[in-house]
Amino acid sequence: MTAASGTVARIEALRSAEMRRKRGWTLLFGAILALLVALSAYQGEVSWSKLVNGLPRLGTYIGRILPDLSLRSLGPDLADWMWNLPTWLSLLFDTLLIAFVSTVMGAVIGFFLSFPATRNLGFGPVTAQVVRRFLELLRTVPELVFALFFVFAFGLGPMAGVLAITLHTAGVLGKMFAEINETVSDRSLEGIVAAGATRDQVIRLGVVPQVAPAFISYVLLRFEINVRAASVIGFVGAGGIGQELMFVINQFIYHDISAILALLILTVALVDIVSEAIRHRIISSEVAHVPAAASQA
Amino acid sequence: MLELCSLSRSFADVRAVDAVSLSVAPGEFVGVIGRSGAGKSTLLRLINRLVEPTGGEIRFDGETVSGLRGRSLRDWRRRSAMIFQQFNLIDRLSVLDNVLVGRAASLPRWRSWTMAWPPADRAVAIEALDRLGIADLALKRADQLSGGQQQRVAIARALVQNPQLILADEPVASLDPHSTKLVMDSLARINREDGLTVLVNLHHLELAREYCRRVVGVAAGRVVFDGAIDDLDAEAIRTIYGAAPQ
Repeated sequence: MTAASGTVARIEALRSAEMRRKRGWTLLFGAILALLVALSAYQGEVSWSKLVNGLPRLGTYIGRILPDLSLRSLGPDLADWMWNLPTWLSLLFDTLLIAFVSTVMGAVIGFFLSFPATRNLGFGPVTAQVVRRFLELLRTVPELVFALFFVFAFGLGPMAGVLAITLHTAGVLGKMFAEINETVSDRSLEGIVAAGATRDQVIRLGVVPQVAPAFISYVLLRFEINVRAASVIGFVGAGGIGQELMFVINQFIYHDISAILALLILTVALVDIVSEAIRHRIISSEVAHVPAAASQA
Repeated sequence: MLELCSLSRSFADVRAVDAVSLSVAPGEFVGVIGRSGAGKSTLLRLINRLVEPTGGEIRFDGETVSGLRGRSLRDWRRRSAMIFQQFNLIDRLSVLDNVLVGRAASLPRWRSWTMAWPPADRAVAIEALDRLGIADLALKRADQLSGGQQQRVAIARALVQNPQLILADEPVASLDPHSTKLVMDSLARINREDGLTVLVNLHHLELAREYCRRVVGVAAGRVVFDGAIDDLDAEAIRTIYGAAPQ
């Protein structure tokens, strides 16, 4: 009994020493974090009085853009609100296509760049650094700025938007994919190296099967984000519903603003639901192996 | 007393466990033997309710545990501690925190969220590790341990649950002979000293002979043998393992 309590005391002493060491760091980082938040809020002019004073004005604006709908004449009211529906739908469709094309192209570019950007696949630290910085560049330049360049070069229209979102998507997905690649266990790759495979074979046969579900999940998430991005990119003339939204905002056509926003929210929700269903399918087909494993042994 | 009454579980068209009836008295050390895929694993997982039965009943001391939900289900899980083939520890937690996972069901939620375990519970966890001869590893990260050490951590986690039953699913299948002996001896000692009922899945017949007084043979989801290890003759082994005995 005394032996056991001796052990407990010894381990507890070691543990509290370790906790003290950790606590110092935790407090330090906590203090730094709090300081940074306070500084940013100050510099960014985040103020309660501004928020409180501004809120009513926000209410006024929302009140203005809301349509006049009454239960008695709902049909005609809706028709009145959505008077330009065919044009808007076709612009929304453009937006979806921009998002779709640029997600696919960006994902392909990101996929191939992610492997040289992965630190533990043997491409060497120099290659990894160069590719990583390049991906960073693609990611850091905002889509809107890319879009401005491309509108200048290729003229108004969806092409500029597609290129802009493609580059940004490649940058984001390339980095994410590279990080996922780094979580793959070296042990399983060793099995393929030991069989005499080249590096690209190791990637294809060892890395890709393990990362595929995560990749797909991120691509779907990116598609949702790109639908939003594609609807804003029109603000600089790069095609889609954004151009029209910018127009009605600038011209103070209040009811059209809410009509377009409502359609956008509907579209994004639809994309959300569909991609969620696809993702769920992929994940559940992965999990389908579990019962088989459970019935073993 | 653990009683299974025509317990069944199907996966799609596969009957992994098929109308199994079994009763285990308190303090018994029962080996469940059979080929891979015979349904041994599903049987233990059914008892802990990690897998839901598609038919039949599980009773413990007269209480029907196959219908429990919510808090009482979690308490049943605490009482029927699982030990897994792959240890199922959390690699990024310390050994001590892994053992304290076994206390989670008995402590308020905020204890888990802050991981501020009461000193009394920490002492219980360290004592459990000490009993298994690995108290000195308490502050290491779980993934720094060898397989045999990790399995003993898992046993310590099971012990601090204050269980009435230990369900060990192929606990030594991934271990070397030396670790196998350490882990099996630990289970035997817990069974002897604490009077805990132990159900252990083994596919190695020799281990069953060495440690179990009673064995249950499972083939294709059904119990095909249930009796003393000494009654396990060549004929019985053939029924359990089929044409190619181990």
